[in-house]
Amino acid sequence: MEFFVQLLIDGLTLGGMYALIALGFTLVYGILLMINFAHAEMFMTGGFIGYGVLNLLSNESTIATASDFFAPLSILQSTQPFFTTTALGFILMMLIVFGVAAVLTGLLGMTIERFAYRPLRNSPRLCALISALGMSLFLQNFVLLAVGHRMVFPTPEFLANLNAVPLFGSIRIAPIDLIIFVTCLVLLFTLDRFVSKSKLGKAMRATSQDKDAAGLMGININSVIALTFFIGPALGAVAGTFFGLKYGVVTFNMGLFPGIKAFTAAVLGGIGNLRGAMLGGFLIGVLEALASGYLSIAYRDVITFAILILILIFRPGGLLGESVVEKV
Amino acid sequence: MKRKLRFILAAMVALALAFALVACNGDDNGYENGDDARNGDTTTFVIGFGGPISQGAVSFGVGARDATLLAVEQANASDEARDLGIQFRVVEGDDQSDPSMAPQVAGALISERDLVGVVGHFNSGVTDPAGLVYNEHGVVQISYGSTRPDLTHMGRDNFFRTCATDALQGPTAADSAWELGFRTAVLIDDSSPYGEGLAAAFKEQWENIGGEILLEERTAQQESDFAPVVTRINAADPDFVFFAGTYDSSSGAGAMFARQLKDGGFEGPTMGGDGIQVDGFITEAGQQSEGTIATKPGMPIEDMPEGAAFIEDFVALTGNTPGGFDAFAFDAANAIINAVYEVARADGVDNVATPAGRRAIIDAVAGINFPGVTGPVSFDANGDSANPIVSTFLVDGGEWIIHPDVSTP
Amino acid sequence: MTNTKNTSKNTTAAYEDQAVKGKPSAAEAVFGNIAKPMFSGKKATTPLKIALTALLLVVLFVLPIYLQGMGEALLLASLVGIGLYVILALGLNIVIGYAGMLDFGRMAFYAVGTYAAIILAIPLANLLGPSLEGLVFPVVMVGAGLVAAFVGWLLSLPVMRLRGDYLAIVTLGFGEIVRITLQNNPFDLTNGLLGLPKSGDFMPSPPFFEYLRDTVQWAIGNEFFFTVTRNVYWYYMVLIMLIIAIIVVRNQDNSRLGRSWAAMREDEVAASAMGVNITKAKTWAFVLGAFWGGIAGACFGFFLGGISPEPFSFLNSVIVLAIVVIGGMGSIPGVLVGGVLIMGFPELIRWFAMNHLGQAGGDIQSMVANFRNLFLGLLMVIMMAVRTEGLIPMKPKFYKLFGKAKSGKGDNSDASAATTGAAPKGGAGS
Repeated sequence: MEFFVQLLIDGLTLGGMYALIALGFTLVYGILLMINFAHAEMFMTGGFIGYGVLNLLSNESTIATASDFFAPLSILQSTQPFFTTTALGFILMMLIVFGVAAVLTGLLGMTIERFAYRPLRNSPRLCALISALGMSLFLQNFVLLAVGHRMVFPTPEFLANLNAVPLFGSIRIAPIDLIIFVTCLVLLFTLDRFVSKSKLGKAMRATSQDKDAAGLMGININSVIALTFFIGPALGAVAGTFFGLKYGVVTFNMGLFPGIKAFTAAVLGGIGNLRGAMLGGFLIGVLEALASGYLSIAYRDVITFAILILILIFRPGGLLGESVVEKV
Repeated sequence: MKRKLRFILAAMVALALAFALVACNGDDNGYENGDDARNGDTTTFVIGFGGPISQGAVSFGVGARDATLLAVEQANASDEARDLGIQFRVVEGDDQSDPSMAPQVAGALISERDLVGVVGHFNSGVTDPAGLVYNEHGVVQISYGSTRPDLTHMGRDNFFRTCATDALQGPTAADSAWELGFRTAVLIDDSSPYGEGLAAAFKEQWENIGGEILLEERTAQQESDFAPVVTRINAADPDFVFFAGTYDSSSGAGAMFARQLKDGGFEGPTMGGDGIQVDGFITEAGQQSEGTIATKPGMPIEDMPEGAAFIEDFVALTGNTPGGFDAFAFDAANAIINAVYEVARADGVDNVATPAGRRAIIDAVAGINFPGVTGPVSFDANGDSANPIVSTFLVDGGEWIIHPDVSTP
Repeated sequence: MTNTKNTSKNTTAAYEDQAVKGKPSAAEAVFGNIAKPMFSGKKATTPLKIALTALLLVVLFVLPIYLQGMGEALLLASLVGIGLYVILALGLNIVIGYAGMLDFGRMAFYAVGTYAAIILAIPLANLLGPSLEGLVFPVVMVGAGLVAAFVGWLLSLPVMRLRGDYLAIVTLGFGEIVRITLQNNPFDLTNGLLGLPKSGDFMPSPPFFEYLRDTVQWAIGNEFFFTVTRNVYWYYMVLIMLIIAIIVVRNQDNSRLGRSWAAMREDEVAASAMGVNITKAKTWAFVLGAFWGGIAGACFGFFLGGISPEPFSFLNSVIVLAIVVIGGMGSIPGVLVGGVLIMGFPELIRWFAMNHLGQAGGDIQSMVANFRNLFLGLLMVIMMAVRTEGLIPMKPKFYKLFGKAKSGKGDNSDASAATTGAAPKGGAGS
């Protein structure tokens, strides 16, 4: 029993990250009916930006190098101990790191939409897919050439000194896992409220139902799409930074597998459906954990892909989605 | 339409010709260079290097490349080379850890007319097909990091390696673990040929001496989340975990694994082979690497008579400390260099880079014996290193030290 | 291919009933009209074109003699690599270019072909004995093609109903499943990561290789020395397979099957309404595309002299896709040029770096590999935005309702030519 619960916890933590990435896929698909293959790279880029910002705030030698380029940055030298050792400082630092990573990656997402996808809006869907694949290849290799193939993610001292939280029996949860899980829940809840209640969210839903009609109602389609391409990558960036914090490393090709799995999650929940993506993310995470716990981790990816293929074939609408009729 | 067809065909002919033309152009240059070298006082021989430089197991390729460069630099400055009128240069082939690149990379090295030997490759899967090409052309190949046992049993008399095979390292790891008082193990391999071979060798010896394996598991490559495995390990509750694989996330994930194992609350140590006995492992796994045990073929280079000088020179050349298989690459390059000296003395410098000379180099390497950085360098009849020492290390205070509680065999 | 014919008679016949009247043989459905389009009036066969093709062929056949003679083994090995990827891309071109289905998992069929060839070759070599060793490669190559085609057929069963973009993701997943399964040594067949052949087994040598190696030796002066090395042998083998593939694929495109692919690609629903059997057309596209993957895989396995799962990564599937997309979807010259550009150009730079830049060459080499992928990605994005049809676009097809297709000698009353007024004279062949 304890074994099962521990696997469940492992799965939910992982699933939270999948859910964050899956939202990006599902948002874009809901509005443009397009699989944004490059979204996996948003996750990766977010991780690298998070890596840079965190280093800038907490790593003395990085601060020193940065100050040589831009003198005012040397102020970070004095804030560094506060950020790395105290609880308040740690929370503040994490907010800054996630904020910067999310905003920059969101802007990158908007830029990509503007230059790579907008010209293709009226082309066949396959063209957009190929373009997205190309963009993914480009971003990966850009990061590889500009930064490096593997970066060791710094662990803030405060976090390193925290002990695992015992729940009951031998069940315990690592502090970083707890942080990831709680943050994911908060973000997912906020996004859900935003889309269903706010004016912009309503515009997004209107656009996804009928672009032309929404345009006639006075909604600026282009800004709604741009907003979508901001929110998705921003959430992906949060997941990417969490990835670095949890696993200690960010690599240029780290996006591929989480990307495919998040896509699977989005499809499982019903692509285009926000709550479906969240549900799918957690489900995939738990399924993977159970599969690798009771069978073997070697076949974990095979199991995920098999789920994906089976769902696409037998219930393309997913768990919460409606089945889509192909129109002529 | 006609014009378009004409254009297409013309373009294709042009592309085909481009290959031929550049080749032609290059050959002239190569010829002139060779000619100059032969007419001058010194002859420059080429030592080929093959390993992953841009992609794949980069961390093991770049250091070994630098070690080869260092060996050549030192040889070029030596009295022996000056007396014989010999200089060396390194031509490097980037195989990206991809077997399908092997024919190209090997082909490129073979097309150097002054090639006297190849240091490489790293991944066993690349060493094998590339070796086919070197064998066909009768060029000596010394691998510095391919530990797959059967490579030396494929009937290729030009193949040697300076590193020990997994068949040697696995049993020593098992013996060391037993000596440290461990009785139950969990065995994980990282889905690499290296990991699989090491795991098999460890398992055989471990079960022979009475150890128990509670769980065997294999992680997928490019995998980063090991939480479920950690949960299984905690449920099995072994004395230690043997991780057969490399440390970095592009080729294995030993560091991530060790980190998550400690985060997940496992108290015992992780143990591994030379794939994790690297400084990068400590950097990536952070504090969680403390207490990790690893075996590595050869004596610790710090303790060898030549070792201190090697480390110093390596740092001076690259700014990094040598790690992974770098010292083996250094020894492999020196084996070729010494063999070239031997052949040059016996048959004359002009006859070294000929088919007969290359044959003589293979024979000279087979009989070579000199003190290397990793211990005495010599090869047995199969071409395996005849230096069967494996040492056991421990992470203590953020660095690898010789494990104090293991008796050196 | 001949075996495909035998096994597929029933299905082909069923398909033909669905299509327009007139019953060509099963062979014709698979091969298309091999002789006709090349020499009948359908193509604009000008003397210039024949001369250029002949010149290209001569260059391609003489090039390895020159390269090997001068000791340029890198360029020669690269050409073999290009050839293999072009065959792969031709197979993918059937699926993407002709049938309009996106496949992100091309490596699956390449891997299946490679492994099938090697797994079959070793017992077969033992069975035939050393005197008949040469027979092994041709037999297992066809065998590998058939196994890959069978896997293609298996994959086509469940994915029939999928939409284009879902299909892409499913094929991606399938490619990864194949690679991971190979790694995990199912039924002790693939030997996991250690790869094949297993320790103690040896690959049989391909037909005439040892004979050619020992007899053909040309030397001119000190600088030129030609023998049949592995690279030379496999260059010619791959070149021959490539030429066969081009002829067969080209004629398939001209066959009834090719026309139903074109109809399906343009509008699936409309094509279906016009009596094209979509299921059959899709199945054939998968099967035939996979077949060429298997053939290329067999050559690849024997060229390397063994195999492990590393080369069959998703990135390599993307590279094959990029060859087709950048070269021109549905265009055979496009695929050829795409293959030479994408696979050949980086090797040329590598060759230059290794030969002319000395020590600094090493860094450039390693940058080339990464820059290639960077530019591939960028090119794919730009190509989709400004030139969807690729570098060398597919030629548009015009069909006449009655009588023979228009010949090169302008019969300008043709209705289709009139609607596309811009089509120049003589170019209206398919």
